[in-house]
Amino acid sequence: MDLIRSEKATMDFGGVRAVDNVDFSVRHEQIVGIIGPNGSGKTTFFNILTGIYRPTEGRFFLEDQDITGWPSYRVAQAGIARTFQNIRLFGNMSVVENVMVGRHARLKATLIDVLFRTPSQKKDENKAQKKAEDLLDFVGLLDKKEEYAANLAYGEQRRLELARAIATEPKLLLLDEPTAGMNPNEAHQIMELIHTIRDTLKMSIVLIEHNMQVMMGTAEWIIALDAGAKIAEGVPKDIQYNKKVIEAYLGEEE
Amino acid sequence: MANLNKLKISNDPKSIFKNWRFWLAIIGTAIMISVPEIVPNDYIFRIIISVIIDIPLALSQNLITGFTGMLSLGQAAFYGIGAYTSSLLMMRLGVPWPLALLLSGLLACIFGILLSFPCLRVGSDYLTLMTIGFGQIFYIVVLNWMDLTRGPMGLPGVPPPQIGSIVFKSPSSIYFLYLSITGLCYLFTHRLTHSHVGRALIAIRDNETAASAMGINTAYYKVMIFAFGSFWAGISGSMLAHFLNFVGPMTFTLNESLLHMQMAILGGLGSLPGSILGAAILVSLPQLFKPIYEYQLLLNGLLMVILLIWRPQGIMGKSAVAKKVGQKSFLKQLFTRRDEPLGNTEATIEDESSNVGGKSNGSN
Repeated sequence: MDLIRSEKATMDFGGVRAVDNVDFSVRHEQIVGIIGPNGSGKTTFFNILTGIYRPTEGRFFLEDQDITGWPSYRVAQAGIARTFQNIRLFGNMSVVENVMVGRHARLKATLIDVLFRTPSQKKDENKAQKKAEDLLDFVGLLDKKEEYAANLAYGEQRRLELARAIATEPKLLLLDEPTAGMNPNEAHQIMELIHTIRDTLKMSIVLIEHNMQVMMGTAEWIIALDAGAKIAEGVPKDIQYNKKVIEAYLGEEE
Repeated sequence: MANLNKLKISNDPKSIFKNWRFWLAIIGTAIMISVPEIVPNDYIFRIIISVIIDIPLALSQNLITGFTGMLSLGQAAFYGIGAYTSSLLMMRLGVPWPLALLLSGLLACIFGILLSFPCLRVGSDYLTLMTIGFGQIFYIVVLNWMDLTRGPMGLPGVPPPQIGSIVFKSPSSIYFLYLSITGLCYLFTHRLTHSHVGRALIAIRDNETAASAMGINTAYYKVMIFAFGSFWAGISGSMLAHFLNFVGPMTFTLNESLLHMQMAILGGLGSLPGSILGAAILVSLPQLFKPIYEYQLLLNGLLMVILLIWRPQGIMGKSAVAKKVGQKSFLKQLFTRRDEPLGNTEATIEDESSNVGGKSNGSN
């Protein structure tokens, strides 16, 4: 059974069709890549999948549960986490607190527990802190845990965003250009991290990426979008030589 | 492990005495208890009580604006709702004081929830306008509803607080009563902000989209914080009415809301002790400069300008952004677009440079 499946997902902004009838599915513990030129609807596809926008048409299923049009926070609680193309950290919180925000939906403490600081709330907090520190260790940021997130270097911010997303215990992790702006060495480290996440934490991953080296090295299945529509899908090797994909990027041969 | 470490600290009797917070608490409590003995006259004592009454207002303003990032300017209305509710309940219906106090908080809380729903639907600038509008509506209703509020004449003869047969009439008895109410407010606010709720609030302020992508129900928290804030503003109003033994509409104007905002900003948005300091300064300053009463607002303005230049994050505020990226304060952040993540100036620059470098940065 597929973990996530979209049927004819479509998104219109006024007269512009940003995503056009995209059928898409991801299996458990699969790494899928989405490629396409600028403005081909990749990020918009993430946004309608995670409930930031409501799709104009089409449906999304997470393990056969219809999640179409759910608000963002419910999608996250159901088990889809994401990172953002333009990093969106909580700049005025410490690094460890950022990851603890990721634990938010998995905490059991209620408002009453908080106001009266019950033992179970304290236990909950300690567990969240411990888990957050483990995850920071995992992405290699444990020594920076007390720093403000806004003061981290660019590559570290990307790693932190990754840790924060994993903290929500997702079944599906969506990564929007995880290596954008990184040098080849850093990009390679992120690539390895993605593999480790899949292998040890057993989650499925979908990534948008412009760096073809990263894409070929991580994705097991690639979907190519152009002008919002799916133009090709297949294993990386085939996509690389697919005529339509090459045309989308380089234009038609005269 | 963190758990174990904490246990160790609390079990070791020596380390408690090394903890500066412990000593601060002891000294603070000693000062608070001895205030009635130290204070030279009733006049200064009444100023201190006024500060205690205003602290919950500064705290709730701080929660709404400093933590959650909603620039609400309607706290005076909830303050007024509380004041009128408990005065009228006691004077007209003979409701006992503790119940009147609680009901004044609850009614303010209900109005806060009602106001928060339309506020959820609009962006931050319109939220400010809407809360100002709500404050104006409250003021005009109170001014014109002669049968209930006696309009501009106000309600004289509001009875002092009373529990059973104990009447809190002397300044020192009111002082201890109000100190414990405000103390409770501080305790709850502190616990709220030092928990996953507090993290959720800051997350909403720093980046709402990311907050909801982390599974935080942003609408729920906004409503909740409005409810919590207006509850305590209502309690404050009730305390004021039973202390002054008078309620009048002139206390609950937009100027009052602005003063609450000033308290929160002066002390430092996001800092709870800062709110206490802000309330203390802005309540006692007008009394200090009473001889030059006409220049009061000028002085207030000057104080804010100096503060924002010298320390934009407030006296006790801390901000990653103010520290790192020039002197960009929370206040400045409040007036900039919300969906721009705080302190991501670097990231944005890098994004752009990667564009220049030919590697595209698909923004769709």
